[in-house]
Amino acid sequence: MTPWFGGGDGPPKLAEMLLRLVVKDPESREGILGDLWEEYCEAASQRSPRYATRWYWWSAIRLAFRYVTARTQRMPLPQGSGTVIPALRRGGTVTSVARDVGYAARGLGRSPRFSAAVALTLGLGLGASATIFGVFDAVVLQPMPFPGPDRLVRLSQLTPRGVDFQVSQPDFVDFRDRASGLVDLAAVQTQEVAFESDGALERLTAGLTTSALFRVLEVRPALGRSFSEPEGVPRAGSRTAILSSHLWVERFEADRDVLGRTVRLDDGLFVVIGVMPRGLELLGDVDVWLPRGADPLAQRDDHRLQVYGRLRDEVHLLDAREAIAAIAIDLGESHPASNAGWSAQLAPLTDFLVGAQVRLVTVTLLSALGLLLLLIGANISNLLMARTTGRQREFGVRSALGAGRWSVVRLLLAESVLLSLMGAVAGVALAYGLLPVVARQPELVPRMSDVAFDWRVLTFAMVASAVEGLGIGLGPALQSTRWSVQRALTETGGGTSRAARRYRDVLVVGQVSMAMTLLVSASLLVKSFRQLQRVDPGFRTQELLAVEVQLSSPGSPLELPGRVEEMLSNLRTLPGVRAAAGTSMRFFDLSPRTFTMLGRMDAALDDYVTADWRIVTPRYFETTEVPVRAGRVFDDRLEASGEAEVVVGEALANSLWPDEDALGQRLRWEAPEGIATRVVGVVGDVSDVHPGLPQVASAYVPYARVPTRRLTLLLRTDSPPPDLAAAVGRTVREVDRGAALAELRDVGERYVDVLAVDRLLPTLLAVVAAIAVVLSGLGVYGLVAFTVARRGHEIGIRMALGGRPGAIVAMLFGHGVRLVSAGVVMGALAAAAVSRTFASLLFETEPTDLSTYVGVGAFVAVVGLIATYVPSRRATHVEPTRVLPT
Amino acid sequence: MGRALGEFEQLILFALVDLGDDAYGASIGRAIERRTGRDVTAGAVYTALDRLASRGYVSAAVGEPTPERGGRRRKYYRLETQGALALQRSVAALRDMSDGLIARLEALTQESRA
Repeated sequence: MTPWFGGGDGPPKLAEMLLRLVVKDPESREGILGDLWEEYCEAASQRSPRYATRWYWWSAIRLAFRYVTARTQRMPLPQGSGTVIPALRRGGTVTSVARDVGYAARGLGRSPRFSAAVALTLGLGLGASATIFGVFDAVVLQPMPFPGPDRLVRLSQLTPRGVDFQVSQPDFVDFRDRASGLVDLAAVQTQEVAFESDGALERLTAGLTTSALFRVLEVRPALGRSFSEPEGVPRAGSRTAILSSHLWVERFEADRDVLGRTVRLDDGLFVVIGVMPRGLELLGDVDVWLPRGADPLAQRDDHRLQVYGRLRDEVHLLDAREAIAAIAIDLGESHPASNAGWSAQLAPLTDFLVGAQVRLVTVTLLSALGLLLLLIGANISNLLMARTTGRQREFGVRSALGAGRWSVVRLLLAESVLLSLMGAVAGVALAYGLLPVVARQPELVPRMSDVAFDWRVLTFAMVASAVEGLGIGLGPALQSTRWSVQRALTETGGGTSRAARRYRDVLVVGQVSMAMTLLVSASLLVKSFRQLQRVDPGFRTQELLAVEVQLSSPGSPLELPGRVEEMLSNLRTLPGVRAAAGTSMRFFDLSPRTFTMLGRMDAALDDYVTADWRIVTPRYFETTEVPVRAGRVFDDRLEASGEAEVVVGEALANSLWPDEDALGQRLRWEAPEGIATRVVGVVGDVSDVHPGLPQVASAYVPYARVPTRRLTLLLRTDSPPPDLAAAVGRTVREVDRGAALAELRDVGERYVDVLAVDRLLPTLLAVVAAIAVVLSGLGVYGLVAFTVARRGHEIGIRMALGGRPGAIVAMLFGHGVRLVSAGVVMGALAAAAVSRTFASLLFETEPTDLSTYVGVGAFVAVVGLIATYVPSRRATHVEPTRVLPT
Repeated sequence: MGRALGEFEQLILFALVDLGDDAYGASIGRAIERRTGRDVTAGAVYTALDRLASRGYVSAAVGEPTPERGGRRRKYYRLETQGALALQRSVAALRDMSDGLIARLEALTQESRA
């Protein structure tokens, strides 16, 4: 937050400005500001700065309110409503504007409920828009916290099929040494490490990198120094670490003396040489940074480096891209086994970090809110016009007493601007309250924690409210320029001009069509979300718990399977645990995964398919309840002997052997000269990352063959005791004292969480659309009711002359029906155009899904017709004797 | 003789009696809060002080700027004779009126609580 709203050294500056504006007498002003400052400091030191800031705002607003009301009480009261004239003749522009505002305020004060309803409606729309704008601004618009953010790029490699891969170590070195358009390239590799704090082990994510990262990002450590180890020194020799800023704050109490201390990571001691600046968390959740030494054994086909670069100042992205692509082609020729057909690409770093989807979601929401604001504006404009019509006599009297047309228009504009200002205050308050709540949902969108109420949000709210104010004032102002004084004073009823009537019709058609567009869009997104929820994950996520562990280093990897099996069999004896197994998979985790290429024995590399491979222990399928379709799965024998076995998912079996039985077939890994394995079983496909992702072919290999230190332990439970997590920790540590455990989590809950982002847009849009439908219904109702009231005189004459009530209702109803149907048709057309822009957000739902359009159209039409019919009926209750002069 | 003092105005004038030379907006608010336990808003204190000043009950003087106030000067208030008399009258009226009635008032509130 900025010092303008609080969070600086002293009280919020904006609140002080407000007070300075309101308290005129300089001595009192100084005294008051000083007093509040004192109290603020006291509150800040005794309670908290947050509390003090809130207190200050609260006091300032109440004080300002008291001063303003005290002053208007002292303002000379005008005598009667004709006082516009002296107001115009006396004084300069400033006083007359002040007077306009004063009269407008008093005019609105005469109908407090109307004014409050208008201001609150506006406030709701403005507040919601400002909140979404705040998110959009922080997440999409704001540049990254690095100098020259538009020069930052990410380098990735593309498979022959165009799939985006991270970069392999040897390729990285070639790119770095040969790419001329770049200042430098820096690689980051993440891995899990066990961190010892207070005797217990915890799993952290380490980012392995070199000092090049600092050169590329142009940042310096917030504390201490960066890595100085020359590239190429093996990791064992360089035991230094740089803490991430959050780890420094959370685990080391932001102690500046942390430099030089040693921390235990895995089995080694590392000297802390620095603390990273804030902002690096954008590149991923890295807790601690370690120097990355070159691995002489790294393979060209092992893609695990995230690579960032900075363009030279004079180089254009497209040129740098071409140069990179040329290097990739060279590499394909010199290393055909690993690089043939591979390409490489450079993308702006913001594109990679923010992602097209987040951008699209926020733009969609913002547009929806823009539409809602328009709709609110149309609605209020209509209300104001009705109100203005009711005040024709007042304006007639004012004009007759010499008030110019301009002064009436000014009064009306002042009223609408004042209303929208009140709306802005409500809206800003809403955004001020909502944004911190939103910022606490960091898992929804990257950089969400940067979201805050700041002057940009305030500016947005102010500009939006100013536009809204002028917009809603337009109708009444237009109307007021058209009538004649004489007609206004002599006529009993009517007196609205044809142009004004047409304008109101247009407003109603606009409202209905906007509501229709919003509701269709929301329905499409809701339908898409339903489809998403309907996706079968392929295994039972309920009553399944998962804990990620990292085992301590074994003397030999061959020790690991036995250790894990002992752990699992002990876990199975815990109360409430029915089955247990281990896997390399992290369920419903959207972080990058490793894929592999699989092919038939005789296939060329081009025919290999990308597959997601998991390492699983025996009883994995029993524990997860992934169904076995054919053959058998790995049994309890742990010996890694004989021919390597593999279990494949149905999708993989079908794509490699479409017309044959997959059982007993052999398949190769990664390349035509890669290892061969034999298919012993076929299992159901699973969707265990995100139900919206296309199902990837999957292959399972036994843990006994690929023992890793990092794995996820799975527990199938029924009615687990509350202390199960502790019992699991104990059981695991009994077997491996050095094991580091993450939190025990419910896989079913993770599944719900991973859908949170997908639920967000439909939910919010549904709310917006619901408001829109209600408002447009009210708009139609208001128009017809107003027409009935205005034409009461005419209807009375018709009835007196023998007009049938039914015909009169039909006449009024017919007009409403025409407006509503025009709105529905226009809204449907607009929705068809609009939904195309967010088609990529829809899951198994067409943007032109006919049933949605028909259903929503019927619903909006029914709402519109009810809103028309109810007030038209009232016309039949008109009694000729009452409306006609006797 | 002006209009009778409001309750809040009485509280403020008593605070001035209590504070003597050290009466300014914040200390007055604090004094009322300390003695009555009421939550007093700054706005109420300042507008009441303005009102009392316009009736000649209190006068104001400006002190020296201090750093703990962001370099602003304090506006001190002092009880004028007029104000002291008004407060006295208003307390006397309350005392005369309540004489011998407090016990009955308490009995009434006890009853309604029971």
